[in-house]
Amino acid sequence: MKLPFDHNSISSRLIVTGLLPLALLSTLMAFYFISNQRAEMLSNLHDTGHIAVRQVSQSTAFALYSGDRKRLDSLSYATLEIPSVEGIVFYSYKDNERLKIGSVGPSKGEIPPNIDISVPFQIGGYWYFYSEIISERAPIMDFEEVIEYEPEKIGWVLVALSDEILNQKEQSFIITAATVVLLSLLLAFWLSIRISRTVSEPLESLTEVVGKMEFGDLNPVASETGISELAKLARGINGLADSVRESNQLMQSEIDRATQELKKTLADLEEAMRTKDQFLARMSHELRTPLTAVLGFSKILLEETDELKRIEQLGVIQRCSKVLLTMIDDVLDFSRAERSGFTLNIVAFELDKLVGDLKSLFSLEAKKQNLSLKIHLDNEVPNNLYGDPVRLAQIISNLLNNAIKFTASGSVEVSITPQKAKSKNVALQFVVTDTGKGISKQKIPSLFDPFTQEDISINRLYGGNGLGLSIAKRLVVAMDGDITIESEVNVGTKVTFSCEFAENENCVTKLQTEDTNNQLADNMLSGVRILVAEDNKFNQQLLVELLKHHGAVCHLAGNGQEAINMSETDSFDLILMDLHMPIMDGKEATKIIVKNVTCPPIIALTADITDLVKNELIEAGAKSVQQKPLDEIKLINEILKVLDHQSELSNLSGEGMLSSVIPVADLKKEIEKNLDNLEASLRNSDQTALRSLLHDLMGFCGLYGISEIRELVIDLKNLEINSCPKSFEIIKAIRQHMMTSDKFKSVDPLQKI
Amino acid sequence: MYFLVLSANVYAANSQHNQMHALFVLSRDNVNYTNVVDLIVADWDKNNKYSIVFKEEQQKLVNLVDKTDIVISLGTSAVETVFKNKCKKPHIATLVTQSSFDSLAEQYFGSEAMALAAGISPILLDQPFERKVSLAKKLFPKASRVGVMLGSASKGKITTYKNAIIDSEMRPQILVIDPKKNPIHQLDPIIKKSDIFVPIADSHLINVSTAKWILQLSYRYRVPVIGYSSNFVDAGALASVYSSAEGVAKQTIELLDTIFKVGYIHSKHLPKYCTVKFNTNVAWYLNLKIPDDLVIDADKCVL
Repeated sequence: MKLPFDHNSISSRLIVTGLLPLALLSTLMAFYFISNQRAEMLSNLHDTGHIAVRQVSQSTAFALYSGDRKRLDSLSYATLEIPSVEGIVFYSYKDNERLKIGSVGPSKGEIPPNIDISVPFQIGGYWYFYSEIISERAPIMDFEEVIEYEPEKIGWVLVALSDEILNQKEQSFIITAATVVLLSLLLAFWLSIRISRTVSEPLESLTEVVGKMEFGDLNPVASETGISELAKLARGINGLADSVRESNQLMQSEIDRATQELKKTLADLEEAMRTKDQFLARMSHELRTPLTAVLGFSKILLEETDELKRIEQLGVIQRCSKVLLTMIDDVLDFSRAERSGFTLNIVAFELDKLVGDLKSLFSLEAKKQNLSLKIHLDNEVPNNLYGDPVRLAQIISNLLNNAIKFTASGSVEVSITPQKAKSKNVALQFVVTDTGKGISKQKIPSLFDPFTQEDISINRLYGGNGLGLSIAKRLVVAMDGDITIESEVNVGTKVTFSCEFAENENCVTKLQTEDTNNQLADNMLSGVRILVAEDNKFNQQLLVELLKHHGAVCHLAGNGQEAINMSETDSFDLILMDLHMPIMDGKEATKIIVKNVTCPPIIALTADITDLVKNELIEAGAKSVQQKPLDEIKLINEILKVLDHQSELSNLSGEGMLSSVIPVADLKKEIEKNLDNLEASLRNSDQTALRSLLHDLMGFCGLYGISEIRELVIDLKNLEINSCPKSFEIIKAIRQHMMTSDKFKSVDPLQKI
Repeated sequence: MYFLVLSANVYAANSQHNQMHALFVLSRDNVNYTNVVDLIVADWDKNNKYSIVFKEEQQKLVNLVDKTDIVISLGTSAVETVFKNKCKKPHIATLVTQSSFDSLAEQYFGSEAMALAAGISPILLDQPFERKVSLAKKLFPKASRVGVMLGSASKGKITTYKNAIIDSEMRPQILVIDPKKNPIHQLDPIIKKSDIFVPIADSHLINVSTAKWILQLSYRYRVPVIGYSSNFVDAGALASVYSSAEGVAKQTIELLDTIFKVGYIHSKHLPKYCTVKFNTNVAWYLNLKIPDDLVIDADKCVL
């Protein structure tokens, strides 16, 4: 039999907890019963002794009194028959002699003097019981007068009882008790082992199972039989193992799935990186191509003396610049769409005019490639609509641009037909069809991805940034429409998109700007009183010159507070309010000015291009926000629009640069002054001044179209405005650019920007 | 002269009031004594009055004695108390043995005759020895030797006892007990050679110290004992001839009546009545058949 010796084991503890109290209890009970038994036996011995001595004392009184030794012996021997009685000692007062009968009894002088013989006492192995032998004197007369009779003491008797029988019985009882206790303990020990094994063995089995589980082996199954609690535990462990097994499987599948996703993501990332690299290379190529032309023709232009050739070369430079601007606009559009989606500017427009403009725009390109461009506008299509004509034109332009670009021969057709709308809106379907090279079906799904073209060769052959279709799709979606491409290689491509518009049923005849002349009338703002709130002197001069050129009467305010004061004391038709100004900025000033119900309309000017800033300015009360760098035509048109001089609106697409004349020396001087202040602020870590100067410089550069310097200023701003060496390097780069740039050369033939 | 005055007092009381006021003086406040009083007054004229004092109440005795017509003492101590207080009233001394009365009379009056002359009328407790011998003869007609134990107080009548036995045609075995010697050693040979043993009541000391051993020796030698009290029978004697409470009361009433009728009588009175009591267990062990007439007349003095 295997004994559990591990004192920390359950079985050991069960045995100990079972046996220890039992052993203790058994010992105590045995001790108690033995003591009790001994006390009882001793009590019996005493009773026997008392009875014997009393009997002897009473029965032998006569014999002792009479000195009848024979009778005394006879009576004493009868008493000696009582078990344990071993001897009797008589003493007669009358004869003053001691008489010992039997084998045991203390002889004269053997009783220690300090022993009280009136109570049982023990000497050696014998108990002695003492009693006086008294002759009772009973009243014998009938009319007795004496109340009490003094009994006559004849002598005394000691009866000796051996405790041998008591000891034997006690010994026997101890042996019996010890045997019983031992047997009980053995039985308890055996039962404890049995019980502990019924607990410990299943527990060990469970521990083994759990141990295997710990090492990942979930196959062992714990036995669910035996003690109910352990069976319950086994069920729990089995359930846990099942759960862990399922969890492992699930986890493994998740890991597999995640791995797959990760691989896919990695592949996508690699693809994206590759696409980005391709895009950068493409953009670099796309940007360099027109830039090369611009730079080359600019150089030639400096040396060219023939006025006609110079005009022609300037035209090339202008077109290349437009290409560059379009490309940058596309990238910015896409970036904006990615960040916050397109915001449509819903206005009333006439579809036939838009179509006409597009046809005019692309007819020349088509002719150059000997392509036939046809635009069919179905008669059922309502002409007066509400929508964003600019974005619609952008979509069609992108599609037409692609169609013309990829069609070597044949035709390009645009078809506009009505569709059944989901609501009261007007649904239109636009189909652009070409007879170009076509696209393989496998490539079609990825065509709407940004920076994606059919293949790399396309870019080499045809250029482009791969954003056209992507922007077009986002615009279509913004107009609640859909766009699809059907194509067959070497047959042609058909791009279909649909958009919804609201019909303008209360259409009024709008002013038409048939003339697409690039020039603005000089007196369009004739007599208009404009308050220009601008802190920068140079900007003040620029804006005043520009507005005066168009006939406006300008008044200047150096900050927001000054603008408020002037608006209260004088009457103006319009206020141009710069955002960042000292003392009080444009937003706060606008808020205060618009509280006056008779206040003039306010156009806010800012270099900050975020929608958040624009919305804040509109909420402050500005009628519109013009972004720096200012577009002269857009600014004038916006002023006219705000002044409700719609008749004088120009829909010309401006050159994007102010055409007013500003002395280059003054401009250069102002920029250098700003740069000096910037360096000083950087050294002083004057964060407030830094922010203000950077903003001014950005607006200033934007205002004058000095984009190279503006980008450097943006870089400077992105360095989180601190005095790190990089900041000074950028300022140095700006200064170098000013030195090398043709714009700041005094020999500039135009002396103007 | 003193005797004439006493008689005159009794007659005066009786003639003037036709009633009597008796003073009972008791040795103990014990039922044996009060029972005797009760038996006496039960047969009295309803007009008689009585008072009871115990021997310890001497002042009360002095206070009451002048108001009483007669003093009746019960027990030896009571007699002595009355003697000690020198009562001038007629005095009937009951429940007193011959020896005790003689001793007290000698102590307080000089002699028995002087006591009797002083108006003391003792009704003695001791049954006449002849009655015991007569009983013994009736119980054991074939018995020849009658053992008799005497003490210092009773040894003076040894001749009377011998004659009474001899008159009954039996031989006396007389033992005068010596209190200084072991009574067993003295009693053993007498009882051993007697057919019947008749102890005579003596002093209290001798009575008590010998009774137990008499009975044990009689048991050992199977010798029947004719005792002198009811307690003796209860302790193991075969039979006793003794004065019972009823007998004493009856004799006292009779004596009172005589005194009131004829005047004071200067003599001591032997017990007129006797009672015989048997221990049937002892009789059974002795194989003795008690004659029926003795059993029937046990409470009558038929001896």
